[in-house]
Amino acid sequence: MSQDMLERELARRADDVHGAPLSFADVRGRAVSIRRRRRASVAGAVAAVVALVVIVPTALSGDTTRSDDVDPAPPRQVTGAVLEDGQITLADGEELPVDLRATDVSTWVVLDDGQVVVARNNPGRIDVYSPDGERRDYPVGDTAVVGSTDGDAAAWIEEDGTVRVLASGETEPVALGQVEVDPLTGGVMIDAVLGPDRVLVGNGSWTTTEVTADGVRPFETDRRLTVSAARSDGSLWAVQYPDDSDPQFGCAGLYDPASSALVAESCDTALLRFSPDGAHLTGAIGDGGTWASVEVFDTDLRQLLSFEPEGDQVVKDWAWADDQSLLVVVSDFSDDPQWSVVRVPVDGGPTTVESGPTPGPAPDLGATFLLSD
Amino acid sequence: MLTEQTEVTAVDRDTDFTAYLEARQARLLRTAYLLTGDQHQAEDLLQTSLAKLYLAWDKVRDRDSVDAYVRRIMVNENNSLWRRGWRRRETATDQVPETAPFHDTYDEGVGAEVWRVVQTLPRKARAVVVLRYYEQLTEAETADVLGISVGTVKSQCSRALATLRERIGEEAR
Repeated sequence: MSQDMLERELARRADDVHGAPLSFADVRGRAVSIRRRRRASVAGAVAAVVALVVIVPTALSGDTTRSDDVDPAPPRQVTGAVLEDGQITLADGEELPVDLRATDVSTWVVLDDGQVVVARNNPGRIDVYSPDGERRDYPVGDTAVVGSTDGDAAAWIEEDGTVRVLASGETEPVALGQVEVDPLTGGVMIDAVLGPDRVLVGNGSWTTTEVTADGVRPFETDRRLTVSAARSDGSLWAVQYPDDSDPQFGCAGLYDPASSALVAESCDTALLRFSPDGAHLTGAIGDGGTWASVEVFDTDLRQLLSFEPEGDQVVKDWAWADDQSLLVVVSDFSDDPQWSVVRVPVDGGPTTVESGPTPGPAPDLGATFLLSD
Repeated sequence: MLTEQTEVTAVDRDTDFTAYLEARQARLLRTAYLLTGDQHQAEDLLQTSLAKLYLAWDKVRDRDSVDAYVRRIMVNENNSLWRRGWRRRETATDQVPETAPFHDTYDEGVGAEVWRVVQTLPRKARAVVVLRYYEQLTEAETADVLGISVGTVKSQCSRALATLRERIGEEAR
């Protein structure tokens, strides 16, 4: 009976979908665009290699000073930033006006020098905002940007597999290396950014490649795993790996790269993310775009907290606000969806509403608030 | 002469592709919607997938297998875009509709609960469910499109149905 209901409901939902018909010109135009981006990316990669050559002698000389007169600004907190239509609010409360809507953005990160790096859709590109609001944009393949845990670098991947890294304190990204791309699916993506000189790339199923300033090489561990994040001191990696107990997600674990060993495992969570101080992690099961709950774990992967929004609400997004609390975006599937950003203390203290409730789209149609990764 | 042949071939190719496009895009859009749960993402996914199909059109020798081929592109593209489920993919729109494209009012909300279960399924499990229960592919065909084992198809279908039964309880039985 439940299968009949599922089939009926899928058919009902699908039958209600009526998009504007695509013409042959629409499709051919997109195809030309894909082809052109690939060619442009190849040209861009050549230019980037030249730029890299210029940078290397400076680094070898040991002179890394960017200015004799200006002291570097203290690092910014890179977590806890919120994007809503037209505005980014950083963790310290500073507001940055941006020509963006939340629905324009796939992922975004804040670097510790105050630069904001946004992967936006349609057209797919990377926008980099300097602290004074000036915007620069760059081509991208897989429309996402991934940041290091401590905010010293952000990376994205271009159509031809060039891994582009923007380091904190720099104004232009460099090409760290180029990985092989499946010409049909384009199935390469950045799994984790371990720093400005080290990026891990995967194929969507596991981490395959390590890209460093020394070159591109296969990522070799004793088992297939996906590295999804690294503790800021680099001592632990959050990983996901196949396991018969859960053919869809496998299990999550913490991997010690020094000893090449898993030091904690759990088959009851996924999507692990370190807190800024590395003492805790968030995790959740599900990847359909909305989640029923989000959990907090210690570094033995013992669950400390589970946050489940009230009533019919679902979790749309979450991120660490600081070492002791996380921000969770919640909404609902009602006729008048309400959106809120809720602060959830790790110690189980009372939650507080930071923003909202604000009317917005259904969670499967868009977002009102988007948290930095 | 060579140029003429090439032009004729290109015209035939585009005519051939256009016929496929006109015949199948409505159905493919529905599948894309069920895969993404988002009409705007679905439209974008479909356009990109069809563009990649167009680029590979000459390689698809067996015209009877085009649907399977484009489904594979759609699933791969969608999974690639979602990146382990962590990365969000929201497609820009000129205007956000005031409501979801469909609002269920029948069966005291059971349909809405079924849809909510689908919406919260893991992306790849959702693809299994859509291919099996909407596209009505066999377990073997579903496994082939997704590049997974038949056993995984079975276990994911079983899990989805169990979740559904648990969520809607007696109403689903």
